[in-house]
Amino acid sequence: MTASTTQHVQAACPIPATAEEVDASCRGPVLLLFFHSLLWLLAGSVLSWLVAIKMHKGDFLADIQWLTYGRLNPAARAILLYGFASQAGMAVALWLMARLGRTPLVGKPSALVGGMFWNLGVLLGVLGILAGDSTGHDWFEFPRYAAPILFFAFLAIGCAGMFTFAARRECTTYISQWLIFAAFLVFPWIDATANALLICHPARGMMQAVIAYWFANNFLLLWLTPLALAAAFYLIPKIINRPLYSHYLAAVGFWLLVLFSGWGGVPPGARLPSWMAAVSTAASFLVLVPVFTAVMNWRLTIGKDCANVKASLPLRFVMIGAGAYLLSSLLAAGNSLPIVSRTTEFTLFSVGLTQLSVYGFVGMILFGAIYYIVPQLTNTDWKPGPAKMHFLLSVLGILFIVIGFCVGGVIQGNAQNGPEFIKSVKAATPLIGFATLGSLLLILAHAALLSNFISIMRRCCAACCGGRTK
Amino acid sequence: MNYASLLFLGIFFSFALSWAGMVLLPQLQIGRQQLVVPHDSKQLYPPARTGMAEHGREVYRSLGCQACHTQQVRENDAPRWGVRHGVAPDYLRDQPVLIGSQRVGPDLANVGLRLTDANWHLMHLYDPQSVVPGSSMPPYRFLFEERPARLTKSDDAVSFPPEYKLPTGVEIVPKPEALALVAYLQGLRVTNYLYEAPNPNPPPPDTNVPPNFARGQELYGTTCGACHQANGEGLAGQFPPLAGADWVLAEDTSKIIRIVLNGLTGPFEVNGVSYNNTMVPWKDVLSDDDIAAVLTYVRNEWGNKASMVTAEQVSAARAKVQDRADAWTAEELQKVEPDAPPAK
Repeated sequence: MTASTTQHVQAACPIPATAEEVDASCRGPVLLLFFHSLLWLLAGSVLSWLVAIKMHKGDFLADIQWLTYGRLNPAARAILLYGFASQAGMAVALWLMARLGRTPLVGKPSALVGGMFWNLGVLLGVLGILAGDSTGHDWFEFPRYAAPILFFAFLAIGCAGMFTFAARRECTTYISQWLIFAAFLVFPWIDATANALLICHPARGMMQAVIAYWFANNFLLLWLTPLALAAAFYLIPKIINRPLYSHYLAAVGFWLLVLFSGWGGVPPGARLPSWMAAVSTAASFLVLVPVFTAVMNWRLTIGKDCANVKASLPLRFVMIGAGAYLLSSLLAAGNSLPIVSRTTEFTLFSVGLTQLSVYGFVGMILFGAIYYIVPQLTNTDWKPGPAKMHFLLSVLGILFIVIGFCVGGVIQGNAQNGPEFIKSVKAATPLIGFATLGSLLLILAHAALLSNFISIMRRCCAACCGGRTK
Repeated sequence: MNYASLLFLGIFFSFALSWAGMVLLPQLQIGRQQLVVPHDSKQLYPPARTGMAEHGREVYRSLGCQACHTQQVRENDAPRWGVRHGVAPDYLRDQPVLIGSQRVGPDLANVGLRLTDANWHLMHLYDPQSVVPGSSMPPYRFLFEERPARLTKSDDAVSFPPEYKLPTGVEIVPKPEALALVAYLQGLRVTNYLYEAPNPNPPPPDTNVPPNFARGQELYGTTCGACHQANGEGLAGQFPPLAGADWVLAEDTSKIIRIVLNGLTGPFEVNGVSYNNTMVPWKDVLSDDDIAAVLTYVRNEWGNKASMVTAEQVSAARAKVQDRADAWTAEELQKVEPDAPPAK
C-alpha cells in the first residue's frame, strides 16, 4: 500500500522489521489498553442504561447520593470518552505507528506504565464525579486529583507513539501516521490548557465556558476523530487489498481538517460576544470539506468491491463508522445554525449527536480496528457467533439511541419554546424509551465483545504456555 | 528533507492559530471583565453572594444540577426566563461557571425572582411532585433527615400542606446542604440592565427633565465629579456633598451661581457639617450656558429636585461680579441679594 504513495522517499532506509517483530513488540501495551477499554465500555454502558431509566423514573435509585442523575450522567459520558474511546484509540495508534513505520514499538515500558496510569486516572476521576467532586464543565468533569494523572499518563503513551514514529524504517509516511501525529500533538495541548485554565488558575466568568467549549470541540474533532480516521485510512485499503484512491486528496483533507477544526464548539446561544458563535458556525461548515474528502476517498477506494466489505467484519464496522461520520458532521453543521439551535440547543438532540459522533463514528471504527488487530497480535481468531452478535446489537443499539434522542430532542425543543414548559418534560418520553432499549442492547453487545476478547486471551495464553497462565 | 518537522510545524501553526482565535482573543475580550456599577444601581454588579449561597453553589455543582438545568437566558428566552437575556458579565462571580447544556428542567438563571419562598424550595427538593405535578426531577431525600415528630412542629422542619402524606410520626428537617442550596437558588436573579443587555422596554423618557440637564451631566463628569464624586456624595471631611445639600437646593440660585463663578473658600457649613477647603473658580473655563447646565444637573440628580438654572441668570450674576477676583467666603455670600426671581 505504501509503495504507491507520492511522498518523498529518502535514500538509505534501514532494513524494515517484519510484521511479526512489530506485533511482538506491540502485544503487551496494545492488548492491555484494549482490555481495559473494553472493561470501561461495558461499565459505561451499564451506567448509561441506569441514566436512561432515570430519565423515565426520577425516583429510581434516588436515595443513593453517589448514583444521583447529575453525577451518574457525566460519569457515564466520561467513561465513554476517556475509558473507552481515548484508550482504544491510543492502542490503535501505537500499533499503527509501529506497523506503518515497520519498526518495533519504541518505549514499550513507557506505554505500559502510561496505560496503567491512564486507567488509574479514569478510575479516580469517575469515582470523584460519583463522590461529588466534578469540576462542573462538560467533557472535562474529572476533579483536580484525577485530571493531571491523565495528562502525564498520556505523555508516557504519547512519547512511545512519537518515538516510534521517529524511529520508522519505512521512509514514506502514510496519511494515518499524519493523523496520529496531529492527534498526539493536539491532545496534550488542549488537556494542558484545560487543566491550567479550569483547574489550576481558573479563568474568570464565562471565559471558563469558552475554554470548556473549546476543549470539548477539539477533544472530538482533533483527538478522537483523527485517531478513528487513521484507523479507517489504514483498514479500508488493507482489507480490500487495493491502494488508497488518492493520497493527494487525503493530504488536502488532512490539512483542511487541522486548519478548520479548532475553531468550532461555541453554540449560537452561548452568552458570549456573538462573533465567537459566528466563527464556530462557519467552522462547522468548513469542516464538512475534509469530511467529504475522506468519505469520498474511502468510497472510491472500495469502488465496486462491495463483496469484500460484506465479507469482512472489521470493514463492516468501519463502513458504519464512515456513515456515522458523514451524518454526524452534517447534523453538527446544521445544529450550529442559530435558527436550528434555538430549538435544539438545550435538548436531547445534542446528546444524540454526541452519541452518534463518539460511539457511532469513533467507536464503530475502533471496533473494526480491534477486530482486525487483536487476531494479528494473538494469532487467534474471534469466535464468529459473539462477534456477529456484537455487530448486530451495537448497530441496532446506537441506531435506537440516536433516533430516540435526536427525534425526541426536536420534539422536546419545540415544547420548550411552546406556551407551557412543563409539557416539554414529558414530550419526548416515548422516544427516550427507544433510547433506553438501545442502551440495553449496547450492554449485551459489549458483554459479547468482552467475553469474546477474554476467550481469545485465554486461547492465546493456552497456545503459548501450554495451558498454564504463567 | 525532514518530513516530520514540516508536519510538526504545519500542525503546530494551524492549531496555534485556532488557539489564538478561540482562547487568547476571548481572554483579551471577556477574560478581564471587571465588576461594574450599572446605571440603574449604586452597587457593584453582579452582587457578592453570602457564604451560605457560596456553599449552596458547591452543593449545586457537586450534585450535578447543571446536568438538567441551564443558567443561560438566550435572546429568545426572555422574558420567560428573565427580565432580559444573559450576558457574559452576569457570570463574573461564578467559580466554576455552571451554565449547563440541557434544559430538562426550567432555566434557573432567575429562579430567585420567580420562587422566593424557602419552604417551597425545600418541599420541592424533598419531593418535587408535591409542588410541581408532572415533574421528572428526582427527589433529594438524602439532603434531609427524618426526626421523630413532636407535639408541635419544630422551627427548622419543612412545613408541608395538611393534605401531603408524610410517613407517620416523623418530621422532615433539612440538612445544612439543603439550606445552602436553597440560599443559592434564592440568590439566582438578574435585575440590573447593563450596557450589553439594555432594558428591552425602557421606561418612557421623563418629559419634566430640564432641556440642559444632559449637557450638565456631561460637564459634571469632566469638571465636578473629581471632588464631589459621581454619586454627588462628596468625600467626608474634604469635599461637601451636593446630593440633598442645602446650598444646592435653595430656591434662590444667586449664591451657587457665584460659588461656581468665583469659587468658595472655607470655613463653611453644608447641611450642618463644616468644611475648610477651597473650591476653584470656573468663570474663565465655563460659559454661561455651561454653568447653567451643570447647576441644573446638580439640582435635579441623586434625588434632588429644584428649578432649572438659565444662562440669563448666570450672565446677570457674572455682570454684577465682573471685577471680583477672589473666592467667596460663606459670610459674604449670606449678604448677596437675589439676582432675579427663579425661572419657572
